[in-house]
Amino acid sequence: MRHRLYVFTVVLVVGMILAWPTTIWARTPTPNEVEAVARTLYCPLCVGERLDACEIPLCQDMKKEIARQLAEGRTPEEIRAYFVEQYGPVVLGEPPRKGINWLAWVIPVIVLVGAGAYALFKIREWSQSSPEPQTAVVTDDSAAVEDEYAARVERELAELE
Amino acid sequence: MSGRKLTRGQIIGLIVAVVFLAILTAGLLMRHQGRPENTEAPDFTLQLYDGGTIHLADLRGKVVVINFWASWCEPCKDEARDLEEVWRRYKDKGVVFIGINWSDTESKARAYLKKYDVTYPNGPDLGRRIGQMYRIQGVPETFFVDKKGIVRKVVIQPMRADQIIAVIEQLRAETGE
Amino acid sequence: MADVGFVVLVISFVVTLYGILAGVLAHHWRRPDLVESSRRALYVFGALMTVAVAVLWYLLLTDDFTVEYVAGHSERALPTLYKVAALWGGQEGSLLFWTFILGLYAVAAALFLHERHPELNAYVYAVLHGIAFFFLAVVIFAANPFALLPFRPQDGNGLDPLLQNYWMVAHPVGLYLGYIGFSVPLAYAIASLITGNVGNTWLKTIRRWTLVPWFFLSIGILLGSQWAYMELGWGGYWAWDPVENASLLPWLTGTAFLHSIMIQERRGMLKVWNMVLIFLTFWLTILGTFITRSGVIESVHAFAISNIGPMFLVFLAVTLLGFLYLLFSRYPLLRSENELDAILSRETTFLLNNVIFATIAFTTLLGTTWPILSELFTADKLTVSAPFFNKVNGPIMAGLILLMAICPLLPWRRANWTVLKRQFLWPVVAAVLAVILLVVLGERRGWPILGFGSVVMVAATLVQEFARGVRARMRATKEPPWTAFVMLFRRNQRRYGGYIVHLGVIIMAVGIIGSGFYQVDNQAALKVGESMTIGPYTLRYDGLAERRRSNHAEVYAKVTLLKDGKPLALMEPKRNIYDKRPEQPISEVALRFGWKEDLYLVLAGWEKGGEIASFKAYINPLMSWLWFGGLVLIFGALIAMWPMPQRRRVAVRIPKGAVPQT
Repeated sequence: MRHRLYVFTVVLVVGMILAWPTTIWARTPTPNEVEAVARTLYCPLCVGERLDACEIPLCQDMKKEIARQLAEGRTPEEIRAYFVEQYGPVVLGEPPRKGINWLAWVIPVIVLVGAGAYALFKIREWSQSSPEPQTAVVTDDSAAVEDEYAARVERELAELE
Repeated sequence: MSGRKLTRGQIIGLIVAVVFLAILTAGLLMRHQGRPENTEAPDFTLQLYDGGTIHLADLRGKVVVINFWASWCEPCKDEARDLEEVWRRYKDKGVVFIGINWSDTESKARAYLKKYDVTYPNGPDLGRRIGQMYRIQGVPETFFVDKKGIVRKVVIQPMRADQIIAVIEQLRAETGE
Repeated sequence: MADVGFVVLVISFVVTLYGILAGVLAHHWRRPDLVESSRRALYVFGALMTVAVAVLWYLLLTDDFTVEYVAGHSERALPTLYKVAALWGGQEGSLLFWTFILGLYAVAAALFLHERHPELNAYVYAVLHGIAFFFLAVVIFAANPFALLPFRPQDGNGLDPLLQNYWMVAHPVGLYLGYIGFSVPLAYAIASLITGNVGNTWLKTIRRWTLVPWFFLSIGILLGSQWAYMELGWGGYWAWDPVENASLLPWLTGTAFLHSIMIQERRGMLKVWNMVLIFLTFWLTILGTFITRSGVIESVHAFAISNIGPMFLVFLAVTLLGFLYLLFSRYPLLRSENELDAILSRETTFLLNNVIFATIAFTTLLGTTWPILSELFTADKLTVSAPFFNKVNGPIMAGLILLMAICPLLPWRRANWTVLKRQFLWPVVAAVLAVILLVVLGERRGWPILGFGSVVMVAATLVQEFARGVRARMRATKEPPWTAFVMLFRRNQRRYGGYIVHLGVIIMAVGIIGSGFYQVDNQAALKVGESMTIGPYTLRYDGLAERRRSNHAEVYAKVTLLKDGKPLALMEPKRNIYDKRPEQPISEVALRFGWKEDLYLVLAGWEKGGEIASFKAYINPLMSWLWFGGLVLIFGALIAMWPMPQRRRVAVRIPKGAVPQT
């Protein structure tokens, strides 16, 4: 009985020793995985520099921290949230979508819609007060269209020097 | 220009222009604003590495030395032992040292504190909010706050023990009224 | 010697002040001799600035370290080329250089344009003098390059290592030749508003002139992107950094202006737009300078924070509010002469073009200045960079490419179904075929499909336009095809030069889409002899070595590039360690470019003296198309603006019932 317990313990311990490296290998992130997360973050100190390009000691520490957290099994989103908590939203590289910063995302949409509306309004205003247009007679005859085009091209070319 | 009124589009354009100029002006003023000196020290609550919190407003009546540092900062290492030495001498004499770890990682910060055997309260500046309040531009930066809560001296380079003591003694000699 | 430089600046300051007064009084007192005097003052200003710049170059080239600027930006061991470039390497010198280029453009305007619109000259000169006066004030009072040190250092601090490469020599020069050139159209715009002569004639003069600074600004921006690509080592070429955005903003409004001007010439419409666009193009160059030099926005590229911020802010405010005042008071003069005949016409697309460019400029400006707002209202400092701009500007720019396809196909005034069918058939078919091809090849993402589809449509449009033009010419003049093709450019260089520019733009778009959506990267730490793979390539690390240069040490890795086991090339990514700034090593990328893709290799670091070295490798598909497209764009601009012998004007009788031109 004691003999079997002894063997069991030895096997268990040896098994754990053998298995231990594989558990680390399974969890250690590759440089590419770390880089992929680093590309979504920005250096807190050197303004505007992406984390994967930044070489200062703080950024090296941050990349090691990313590797450590990836090894623990955290997702990239969780890691990003962690860095935002540590260093502030500067690491996001874009305005966070809350509070007054939400406006940064909304205003361009408003401006685009507003600009489009303005353009439509202006076009309608222009075209409504126009007199009867005089257009050249255009038939379905493709040769005639070609000639008209050719004549127009020559006219424009001659006029616009 | 006669007393003609502006069209709606012109008014919008004018407002946009004025608002934009105002933003630029505010930005420039902000950039030129220095660190808080001879004004009330911005209040903050710091979560400490050892657990617990420290609240600046609670420390009225004492001389407070606020030191911003980071583990990747070489000059900070130069003054680490000096700060700790002065702390040990004055901690029972109405002086509080607060170490604020700025733009750093926790594991490295803790390793730094262990290496230099730092015993005064230290905590991370989460989101760099406190650094923002004190408008620091790097580390190390040390702020000396008197008993009434006014920032009396700002030092943006590493300090030696005798220099730290000189400032502390001056502030200790004052009354807290 | 430095004192000579300073004295020259002071004299220039007085001269420009005189020039302003002479111009303004010349107009109000109706004194042509004062106009001429103001004009001569521009020549004097130009000459004096040449002397000032020559003095600073002399000080740099003779290593005169008693001058603070020379000590701060040069060193004995600096290669001569960079001593020359150090003129614009620092704050004070670059502002002096700016003023010098202003002198060149002012002299050119005074020389070549003075006979065209005499009624405007007085204020044109006054405005040019006014801008010069402001910059001289900044240089003299806040950024003096001739300031002396109280002692003479043994050696200077050297030039920032990031600036010691060939792009640094050319890129700022291109940018400045671009920015400052827009002062002249602005002067004409202001002069026309003040004097009330808002007719269309001066626009015709200005539109050709404006091509020149636009041309240089485009070159400057392209060189800057190339610099970022080759020197910064992150595999990209545009980071939406505030300084980069500052150069893009005037380019956007300038491009919009070059298009919008066509409408005012043809149909007398969009006059207010054009005034605003000219003003904005100039004003944004000043704003960009303010942003990058005042410290209001932090940037990797920025000069050191200085005192010139408040002066620029005042200038910005005065010019903006002054312009608005002028614009509003002259509003009745700027009414449209014509009305639109139809919604679906070329005029509409030009209006849309203005709107889209203005929107892109607005959102770029919004994103660039947003950190100020955030810091004002929240406790947080922000970085607004690629993630924001790609999401917001990307879609709008895609829309612009589509517009580029549609616009040339619509006729002026009114489109008619038959015409529309003929114009759009082949481009749409080509676009649909391209989309099908992409889907068949496996692409499912919306943006690359839309991007490539639009690009193909524009290409087809351009081919069609050229083909039609050649056929029309051949029919009219019986020329052989190649002659007809070349003659197209001679007869209407602006239109066909413009088409070449558009061709350049879509080639660049191909490069942007390819490298943006299909980039592959890999990083590894390799021992000597080990390899890493990327795509179909293998990179084998063969060892680290070092070379000594005049002011730095060059540490380079020997890497063999293999494909299918066969060695293709030896790549040597480097890190330069400068003697004066050892803490700031500069990466030199090893690049192997080709039509299909670029292979981009960075030496990220090393351990144990080179036993282990870490690398980052990127494959950037179609990246070279970006640079090639840039060349095509430049070539197109050259065609459009090349001075041609003046042709005699021939009266054209318009047959009854035909479309009357303006």
